[in-house]
Amino acid sequence: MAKFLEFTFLGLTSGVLLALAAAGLVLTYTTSGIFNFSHGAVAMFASFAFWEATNQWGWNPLLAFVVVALVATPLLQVGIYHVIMRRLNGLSEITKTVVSVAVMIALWNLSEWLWNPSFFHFLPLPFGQNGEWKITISGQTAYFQYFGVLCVAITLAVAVAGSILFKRSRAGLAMRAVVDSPSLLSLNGGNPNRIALISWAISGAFAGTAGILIAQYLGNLDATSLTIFVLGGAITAAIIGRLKSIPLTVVGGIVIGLGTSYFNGYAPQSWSNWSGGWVAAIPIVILFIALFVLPQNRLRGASLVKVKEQFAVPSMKNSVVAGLTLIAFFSALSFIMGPDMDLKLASGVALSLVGLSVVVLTGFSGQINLAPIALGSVGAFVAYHHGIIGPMFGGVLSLWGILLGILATVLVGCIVALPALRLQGIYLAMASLGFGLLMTFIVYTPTGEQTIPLLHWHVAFFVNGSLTFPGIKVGPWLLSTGRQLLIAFTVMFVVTSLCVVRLRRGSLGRRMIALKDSEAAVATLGQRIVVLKLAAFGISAALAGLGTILFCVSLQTVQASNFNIFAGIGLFMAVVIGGYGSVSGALFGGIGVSVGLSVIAQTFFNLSVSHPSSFGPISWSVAGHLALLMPALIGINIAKAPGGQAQKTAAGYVAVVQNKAILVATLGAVTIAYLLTLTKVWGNWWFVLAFCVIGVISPLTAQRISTQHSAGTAPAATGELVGQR
Amino acid sequence: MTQALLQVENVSVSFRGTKALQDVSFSCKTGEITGLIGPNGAGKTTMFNVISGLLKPSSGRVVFDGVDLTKAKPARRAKQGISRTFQRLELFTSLSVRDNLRVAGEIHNATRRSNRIDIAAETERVMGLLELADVADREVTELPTGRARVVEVARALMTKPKLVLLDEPASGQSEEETERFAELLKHLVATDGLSVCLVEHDVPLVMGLCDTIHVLNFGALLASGTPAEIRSNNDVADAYLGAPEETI
Repeated sequence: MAKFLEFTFLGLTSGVLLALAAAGLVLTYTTSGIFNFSHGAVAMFASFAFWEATNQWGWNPLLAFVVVALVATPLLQVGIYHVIMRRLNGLSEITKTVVSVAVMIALWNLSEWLWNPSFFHFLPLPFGQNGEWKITISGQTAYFQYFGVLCVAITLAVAVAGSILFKRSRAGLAMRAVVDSPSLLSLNGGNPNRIALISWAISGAFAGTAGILIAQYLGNLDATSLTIFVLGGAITAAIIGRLKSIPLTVVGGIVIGLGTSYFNGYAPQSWSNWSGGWVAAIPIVILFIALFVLPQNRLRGASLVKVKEQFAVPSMKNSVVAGLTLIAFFSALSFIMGPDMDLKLASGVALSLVGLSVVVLTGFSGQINLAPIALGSVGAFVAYHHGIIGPMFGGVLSLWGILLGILATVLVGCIVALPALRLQGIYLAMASLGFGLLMTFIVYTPTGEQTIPLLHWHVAFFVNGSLTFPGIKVGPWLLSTGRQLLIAFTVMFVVTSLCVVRLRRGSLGRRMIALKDSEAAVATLGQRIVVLKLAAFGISAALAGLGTILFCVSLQTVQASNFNIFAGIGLFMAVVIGGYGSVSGALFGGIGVSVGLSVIAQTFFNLSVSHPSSFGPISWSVAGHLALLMPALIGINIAKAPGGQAQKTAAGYVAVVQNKAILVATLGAVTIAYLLTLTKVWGNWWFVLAFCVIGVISPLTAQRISTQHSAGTAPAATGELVGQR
Repeated sequence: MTQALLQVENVSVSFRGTKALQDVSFSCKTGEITGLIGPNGAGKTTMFNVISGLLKPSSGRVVFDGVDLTKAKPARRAKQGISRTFQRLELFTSLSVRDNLRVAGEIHNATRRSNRIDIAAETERVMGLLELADVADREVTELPTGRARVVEVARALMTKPKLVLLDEPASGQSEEETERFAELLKHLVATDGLSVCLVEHDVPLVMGLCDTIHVLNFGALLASGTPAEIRSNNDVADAYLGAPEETI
């Protein structure tokens, strides 16, 4: 009995904290229509700020709490809404999701920059380890920490204050009104934007309070685990509240807290090698149960507003030409680059294949999978454990193994997606995030052999903490060197891309696009929505599986961090920045994540080591951090180029292709630069520099000539018209 | 006597305690144009949502062609032969006019083992019938609302329905376009054996076109009858049409 009471109290403590965080999430979603994926990161940021104020600046904890939780965090949330989120009105759910995910990654990057994760950041309990009551029942002693009572008291106070605010104040009335109808509120003199600002500020206070208390509850501050803890728990509680009911959300938070605590206290000892991961995964398990139980939403319709994200459909002929050019270009590059760079570019092409899964799922059918790499990792594990022929070291990966991995990814993907597919798009985004977290807790974190509870199966996902992938055996050939892998992966990417273009141009692709535009119309024409969504998800999962397996082969040694949830989110964001409706967007995202970003950041960090003195006002190290922040900052601004950077860049090169002289000059200059590098007249970096200069100057010149030409012909045309009159 | 193709029996719908439809019963007969009229908020579009399966009624039944479809999903109802347009346009904005029709034909063929259509030929035929050939390759977002509504009608016809539910099809159309549209509907009913259920605020159009009219008011059925009977009904005049000499 004493044990039960103790674990109930512990569960209640974490439960009310999650409920507090989740309530803020639901509040902003209902009043502004934006599901704020950065909510967990805001809470994390608040806890680090509290640590800074108390540990570094020596502030009184109570003063620090008031300033950080009740002033600074609400201001941060208000800033996020006013500067970023407010501008997303009228944009698709995909863009809204990407922007809030980008804010999350930006805050996470910023915290890693400001508070070095290599150092230990510790927050003590407010009343110390001994601040507790002891109660003895039937000879057993139960411990109840004062801190837990404080958490419950604070949450109760917030609940009472919130209830009074909602039911008695004008702001509360307006908040309830904006949930029902923002336009009607405007017509009656209300200001939905002001109401949204107030709700984001309150949500900030909730996040700040929850973040600081959760950090004290956990003790050690870690940006990743804090963000994940709050986000995973808060999303689940919010889903239990159906994204609209705060009381139900609070119940959800408490259910998660109690569930986790009871599992922690009562799971059999024989599960100990799994229980650590499962304790963290309990909120996600509850998330999937909630998704399964939730009733189906009404089908979504759309008004006749041209969505800003439009993607051109390429012809097969142009796609083939572009594909052959890419193969020729990357093959040529492989002869001047070193083996390491070949492998890096090969991993970029493999990630581009994962990026194609985003194109099919998000670009074509309008659904969101925030964890494409985590999903693809299922295929990688199956290929590793069942697809390697010969000894584990020195063997080869068979094509059958890759196929088996792809099939496993499709199977697991469809099982994971099915409950969410009945619901609106945002639920699939949450389910996929949950799946990514589940994989992190259960599969990636434990090392060595595990015994699956009840089934007593012995499995080892990460043998000795890493997996070593051999080369691929294709008929009589073994693809193992950097150059071989780069050329083979590029060919594979081009072939798959042509299939994706064919899909888009065909009946299934058109139906997916129609689904994205109006689910209600597609359903009333006779299409079973879940079947179509499942088809899109299945194809997307297959691409994610294939890409991730090839990614692992190019990495050679794979570690859990390669499958980190932020890796998948980062790739998703990069593809959206590139253009999630086009193959070029996938290539932009894959290469950008694997090569562009890491090479630029690494170069800056290397320079910071070799040249520690400042470079002007900014040190090299700062430049490296800024480079890491760049994708998130671009993601935040995605609303300005919703069609994607790849499409925008390609549009610039149309003028080059149309002007034969410029085209020949461009190709000639690139060829000369390449030959100079191949014959070792100059180094690789000079080639990169020359290539970048030609890449910028060529379209600018072509566009300038094209503009001058049209300006020169315009007066003549006007003259003709005048003459005719 | 003409058979009832669609029977709506005692349908009620509530939204958080607000009764949008209360115990409404009516029918649409084979080969006829049935009008569903009433003031704003009377529950006309809610009724279309119930018939097409986008909304589950709190109580009541929807029987189509002798089959109880009350619990059927929208796709099943479409397969049975119900097609619809929307008051708030639901076109596929990423696709051209031709592709909007084409995708409807593709869904029709993909979900049926028999009665498949020649999609290309049917697309051209329907576009010709509804005078859309000149805008075939334009994006639907470029069209004025009146023509966009015609595209929705054309798309609905691509699935070869037995009954088509038209939600304010004349809204945004000029008087001349409305007249041509009315002639076209009559033609389709006479030649293709199509049945139509029409929600429309253009009272002269409804009176001139419909064989039977049902009037909804505050979610309840106020009256049913021929246009002449509805015109002379005092309750309808008070609730919706106004004094007979003023409106009609």
